[in-house]
Amino acid sequence: MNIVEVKSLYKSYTKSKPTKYAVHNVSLGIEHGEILGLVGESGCGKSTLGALMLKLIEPTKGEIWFDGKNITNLTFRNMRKIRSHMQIVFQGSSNAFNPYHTVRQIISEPMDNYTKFSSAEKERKILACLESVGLGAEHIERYSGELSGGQRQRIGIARALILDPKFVVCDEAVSSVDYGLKKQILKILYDLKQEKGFTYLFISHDMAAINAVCDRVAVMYLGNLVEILPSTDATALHPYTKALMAATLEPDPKIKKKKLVLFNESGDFSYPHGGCPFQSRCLYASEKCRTEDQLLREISDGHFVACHLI
Amino acid sequence: MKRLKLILLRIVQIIPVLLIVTMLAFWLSNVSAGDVANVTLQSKGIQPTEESLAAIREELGLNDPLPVQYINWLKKACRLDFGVSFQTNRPVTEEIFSRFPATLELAISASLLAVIFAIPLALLATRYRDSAPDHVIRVMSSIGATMPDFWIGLMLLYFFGVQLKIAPIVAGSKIQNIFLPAFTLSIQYAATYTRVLRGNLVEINRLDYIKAARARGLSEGGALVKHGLKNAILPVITLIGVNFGKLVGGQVAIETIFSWNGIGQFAISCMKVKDLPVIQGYIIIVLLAYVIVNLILDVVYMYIDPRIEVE
Repeated sequence: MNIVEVKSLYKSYTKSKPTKYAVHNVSLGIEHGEILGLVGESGCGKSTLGALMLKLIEPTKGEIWFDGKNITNLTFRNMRKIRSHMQIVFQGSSNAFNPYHTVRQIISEPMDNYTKFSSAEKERKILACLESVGLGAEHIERYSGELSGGQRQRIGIARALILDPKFVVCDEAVSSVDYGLKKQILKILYDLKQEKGFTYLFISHDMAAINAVCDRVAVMYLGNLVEILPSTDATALHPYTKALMAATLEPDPKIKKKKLVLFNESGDFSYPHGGCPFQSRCLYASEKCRTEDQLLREISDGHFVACHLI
Repeated sequence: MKRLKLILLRIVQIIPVLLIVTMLAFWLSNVSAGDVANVTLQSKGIQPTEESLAAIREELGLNDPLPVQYINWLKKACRLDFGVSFQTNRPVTEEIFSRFPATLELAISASLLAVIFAIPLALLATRYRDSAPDHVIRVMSSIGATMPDFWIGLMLLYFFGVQLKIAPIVAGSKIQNIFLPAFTLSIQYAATYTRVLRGNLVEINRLDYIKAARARGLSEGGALVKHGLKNAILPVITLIGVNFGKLVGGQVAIETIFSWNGIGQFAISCMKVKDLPVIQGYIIIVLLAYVIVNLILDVVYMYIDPRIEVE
């Protein structure tokens, strides 16, 4: 069963008469208990899609479903009731926290707003939550500016998970941390999923992180979903996905990969009028790609691709 | 405990400031007045002659080196004794304290009003940014910041005093009549504070912790107040402190228009006739008020930004 589902979703940031979309006709469901990876280059609409799923921003068109309920037009009051089940983890930059709040205040804020725990109970929960992300009680009085990048990242996770949400959007949650820490944080996220049955939307442009934790992978390009892989080891079919996969960095500097030319690297990459969004960079684009729109098609079980060539 | 320590430290830090400013005030007023003995004699209506000049120099201790004069002056100043005004022949302290409370009331009221206006306007503008309320507030604050206060004062006086007859034309330093002059003064500050606050709020509003505050159960307005306002208001507090210095020195135009018997008019009239004791006393009293208000703002700062600690 899908815990979150978006249907023909559009989002434009221009006010009247949208012409450019950050999210363009996206339909995607996330199953209970899975980690869905969402990849794509910077500015392709990944974060927008994540924020839309939590209704932190309003869609221009389309529907958002959560737990079998259409939440697209819910009022603030009704939305507030289900918000405790959906949370977001940001990149652990200093912007993720109010600089004047201590770790205790940061983590207890969702509880202050949603629960009526006594302060002793809250304290106990905060400590347990800190422990589950590998931090100790000594951090509780610190301000976010006094924490390291990795600690901040873990505080962000602790804040998102304190209410035991059903669905968590991890928006570039491991992008600002180094390699060792990345592994550690991915393990925390993965263990918490196993333990508590969370569902994640894991947004990243880092293929290695995606491959490490995700069950399925959705690939976005210029606001469109171009491919959904049923598993991380499924063979990519869309030319853009192939290029992305090939761009995965090798951690061992001794292994030198030959640079592959997988798409046009110069030219006009603004959003094309009609046809496949990838047409101007695709090496294989034909006349059909420039004129006809192509939606996602199921190629094999659970594997969706939007490409005329396949 | 840490806060108390910090407050004490601030008070200790004030002492050198006071010393330096009193030194400058004493020295500059002496230099600018020309020959102090001459000025003193003339103010008493005595024709300066060689003998009378020598006598008055002896009497005022003007033959001592300047540092010694300063120390003697400072000793008296510590007891709030600045001597006698040349102009009125009454003790300077008496003259100043009969007018200073009126100025202080006006300065505090205007500062408070400015903040009271600025906070809701800035919140409103941020909440509805780039739509009608924001545009209206922005235009209004531009107008408010640029309109001369004496003109606003005259218009308000004409409208409320002459036309509607709900405000007295002569306020006469009475606290119940303070609203119009305080309001007039507050407009330009309210306009600046609104703009600064709005700018900061919009900036902070873009940050992740505000954007996702709804995910943690806050409304957009709630997040703005809880997380935005406290962060955005610190620069405004600094501005309040700076502007208070201007206000507490007296507002000649507004005092004149509203017949508010404040320190501004008196200080100006004394400067014209080189009434040295008054000028020196005025500088010290204004300085003290300024320093005390900024000390209070420092404490407010500490409570808003708990990270400020003794370094």
